[in-house]
Amino acid sequence: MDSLPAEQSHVIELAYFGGFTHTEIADILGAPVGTVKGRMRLGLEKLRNHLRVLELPST
Amino acid sequence: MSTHAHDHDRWADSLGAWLLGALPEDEAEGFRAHLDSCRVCQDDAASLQVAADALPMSAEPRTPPPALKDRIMATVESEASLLQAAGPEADRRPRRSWFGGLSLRPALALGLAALAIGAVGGVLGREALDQGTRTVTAQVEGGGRASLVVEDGRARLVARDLPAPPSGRIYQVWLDRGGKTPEPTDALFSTRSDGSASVDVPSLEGVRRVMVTDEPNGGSRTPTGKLLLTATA
Repeated sequence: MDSLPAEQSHVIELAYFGGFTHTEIADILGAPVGTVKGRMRLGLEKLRNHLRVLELPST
Repeated sequence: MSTHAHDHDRWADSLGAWLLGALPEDEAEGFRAHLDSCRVCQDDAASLQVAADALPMSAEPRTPPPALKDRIMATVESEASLLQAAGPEADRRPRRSWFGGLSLRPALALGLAALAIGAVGGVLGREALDQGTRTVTAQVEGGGRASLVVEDGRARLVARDLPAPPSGRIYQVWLDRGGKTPEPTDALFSTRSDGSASVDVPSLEGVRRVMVTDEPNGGSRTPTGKLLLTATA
């Protein structure tokens, strides 16, 4: 999670660990729902890519 | 544009929220229906599920207090008794999800387990971030969820599914700075009809814990009511 931009890790934490819905998170952050959903997806994509790098065999 | 393409355009940006369990139930049902027929979203979901599954491991490990084991074992034994009473039907496996048996529920269960360990351990949730923004998940007594969102020196307590305060009482925020009794604040709030609530919390400078109790309308100078939640600042 430390590898993510703050705005992406923030929405993921509120959703996954806090249990808030995207609309609730949008209210909390004062951001459009579409922006919140976009940050969630981008954050997950970056996490996935980060995990792929970690899984690469060392050369 | 085909009906399918139109359906995909409508739902594609909900995938991340769905994987995080952040879609309201009616939207989640709609998304699952779309997912059943959309190969693109199925592939995307399978690709991103690994990231969602890794989230529980991103929580910082905490040393739980000895009482945690007792509480966990009490829950396990209680559920074992219920399962035994329910008979063989309780052992039936739930319907598997559409992609290779990967299910969101185990991830959520792990997340909740990590949250529980963090909560009982004292530091609640995971502090996030740089840029002066962090989120602390609170331990809520008796149901509901709450987080303390700290941003640019300002803090806001947000919650959902909280019980309404007892009649004639209101929730009050207290700040524990390590003194004999917590300091009162004028942050008073009640729940909305859907159980959600939010309230601005005064400066957290020097504050160890943020607590909420129910108090008589107008608030109290010292806590008199039942503890609703605690968040380690």
